[in-house]
Amino acid sequence: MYHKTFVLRSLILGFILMMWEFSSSYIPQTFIAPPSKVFPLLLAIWINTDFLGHLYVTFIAILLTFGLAAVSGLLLGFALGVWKLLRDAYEPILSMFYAVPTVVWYPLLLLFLGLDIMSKVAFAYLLSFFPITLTTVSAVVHVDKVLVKVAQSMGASKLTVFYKVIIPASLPTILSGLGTGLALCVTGVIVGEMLGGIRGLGVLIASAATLFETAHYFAYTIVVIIIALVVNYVGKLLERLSRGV
Amino acid sequence: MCSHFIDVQNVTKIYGSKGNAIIALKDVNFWVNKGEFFTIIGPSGCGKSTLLNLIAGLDKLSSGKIVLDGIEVNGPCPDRVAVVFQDPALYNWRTLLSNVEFGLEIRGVSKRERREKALKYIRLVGLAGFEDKYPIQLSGGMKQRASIARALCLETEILLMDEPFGALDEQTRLLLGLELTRIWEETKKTIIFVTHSLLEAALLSDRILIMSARPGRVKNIVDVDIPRPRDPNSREVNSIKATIWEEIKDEARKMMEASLQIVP
Amino acid sequence: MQTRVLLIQVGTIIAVIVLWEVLVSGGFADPLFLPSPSTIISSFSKIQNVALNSLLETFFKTLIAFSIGAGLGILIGIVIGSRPLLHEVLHPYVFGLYSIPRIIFLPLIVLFLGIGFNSNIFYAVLHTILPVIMIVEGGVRNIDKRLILYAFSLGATRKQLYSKVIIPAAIPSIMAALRLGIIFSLLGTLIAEMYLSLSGVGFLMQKLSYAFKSAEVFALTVVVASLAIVIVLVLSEINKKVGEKWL
Repeated sequence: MYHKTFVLRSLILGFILMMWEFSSSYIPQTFIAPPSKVFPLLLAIWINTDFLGHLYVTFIAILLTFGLAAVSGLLLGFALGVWKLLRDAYEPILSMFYAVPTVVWYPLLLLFLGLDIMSKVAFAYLLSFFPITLTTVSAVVHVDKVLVKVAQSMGASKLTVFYKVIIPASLPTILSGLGTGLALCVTGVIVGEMLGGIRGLGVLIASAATLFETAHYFAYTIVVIIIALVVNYVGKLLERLSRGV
Repeated sequence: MCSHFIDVQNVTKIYGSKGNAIIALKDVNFWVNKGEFFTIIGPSGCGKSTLLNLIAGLDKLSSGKIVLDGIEVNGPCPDRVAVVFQDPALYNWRTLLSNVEFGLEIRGVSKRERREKALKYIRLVGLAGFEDKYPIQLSGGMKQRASIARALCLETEILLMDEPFGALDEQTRLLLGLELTRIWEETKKTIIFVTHSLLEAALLSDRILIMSARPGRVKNIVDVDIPRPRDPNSREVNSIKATIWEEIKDEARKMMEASLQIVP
Repeated sequence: MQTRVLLIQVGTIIAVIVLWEVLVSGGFADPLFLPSPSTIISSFSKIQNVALNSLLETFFKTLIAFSIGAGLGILIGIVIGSRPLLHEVLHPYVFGLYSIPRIIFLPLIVLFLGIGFNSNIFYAVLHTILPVIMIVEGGVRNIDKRLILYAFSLGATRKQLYSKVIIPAAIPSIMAALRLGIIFSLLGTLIAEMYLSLSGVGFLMQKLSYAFKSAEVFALTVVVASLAIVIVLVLSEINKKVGEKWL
């Protein structure tokens, strides 16, 4: 059964690649560049220092954003998870803001922070901060009450309960939230770069399209797809690992 | 001054306030002697678990007082009382050994001493060889035995058990019941055991407290004088079961009818 | 207890607004970048007409994209979810498309469909259809197999299985997909408008932003954000009402 699905999946992929290649005979290369042009380019760009420079900017933006979002998300998440009063007061407000599509804030961010790295970081931060926080809150709140009771019956202080019971028990869910957050950081940075940026992978994609450098557009797009897929995969792996323990 | 080992005096517990108040326990009065196996039995929802939580110090009394070995209960006292819940509640990120050590770890006992004690009690409950396994690898019965070992490790005088075998099948229950009797005889603890099983109460206890339907009150206390080991099919055990059932069946019916009314 | 909660919430909001006003009026923040709440409120009237047109247009596009995206998405989700082979083979592709920033396809879409209505809708549909497929597919896969087995043992035909068991059991997921779908449609429409469009709220906000008309941008942002919140709240209420009967 496994072999069958593997074969079928590869067939689909192969089919897509073939169609892609053939389409270039019918559609002008200003619209679609065939794999034969794109794949060599994919290898060539890594030597190009300009590309590496843009990649570096994107990479830094993602790291910065994720760091900020993770730390603030976890702190706020734990705080709201542990203190009921704070949670009752602020969780509805957070959920409300979460309901707003983050793109809505983007022009405002552009205004405040300009076209460069800060607006991207802020945008991606907003995108990932909410899921991380809300997931963390949910994870803490859903820790089985009996586990806490056991520790209490053994005389554990509130701090001990937090460190020895709540954190380990909520870890798998929190990690999955962080994984989602990381994937959203990648998305957020790319979106920010495409909608208005000076340097970065997204900027390269947008400008390549504008200049009809179609092969480059395809190549950069594939790079982004690979990065996004890898990040997603790593996230899922981390979560599964933490559950296995 | 009559000093019983455990004294429960005029205990009342009310949940909620004003219009929505539920009286879980009302004027509960009884005592337990040192070294006794004391069972509390009653229909579902009569407040037996609530009572146990109060004795363990995990919840606050609305009125009355509970005195354990001369000291009034004011909060969890892990040096005198250990609790086993219906849910084994093992931490599945810790090994069996690490789980059993947990109480001592919190107390700040040295690593070597913790280990020694934990291994001793793991052996006592019959789980030797499984020290490095994680809870997910253990069966329901094994998890519950681990939970008992964890409580025993605290080496308290008093052991409280809240329907510890509730989630297990009948065969495992009977076997674990025998194990528990053996452990009790070896460690000479005072055990307060909550159950809803008539057979379990008759098989394991020295005295049985029968609770009424909500609001929970002491309906009766039955002495069980049968020598151990007890045969589940013997005339004596069946007679005790019959006695309990006589007292309890009306209360059980009351609880069943009461809960039928709550569904909107 | 409830009053304490309310106090904290209202208190925080008031504190933020007061701080804001003080920062700007007191000269601590540049009014070009951070207009005071009072300026923002007054700018509402300035942009009224243009804003209304843009809002209607964006709303209209969102609705169309939602109908197509959610409609197709639910159909595809049910089909993929209910046929294990299709799921095994296609799921990685669906998931792959779902987890990447779909905005990277926007230039390609614009290349073929130009700036304006068509490319907007196409992208918004793309943005909507994938999450919807994922949710519905997941929901269908999670249906208790015993329900299907039981109907099958009673001799139900394939058509009956779908209409009497699978689709009804999938309704909660479908409702969830619809609720999220509309937000994704709005999101997709806005992104497309911001990237390359000559009309609509997204475009308007970008334009105002580049022109440094901060008060207007603020005002518009508040309006759109509030609308989004209202939509979500309304949908939650509907979801609760329907959910009560179904469960």
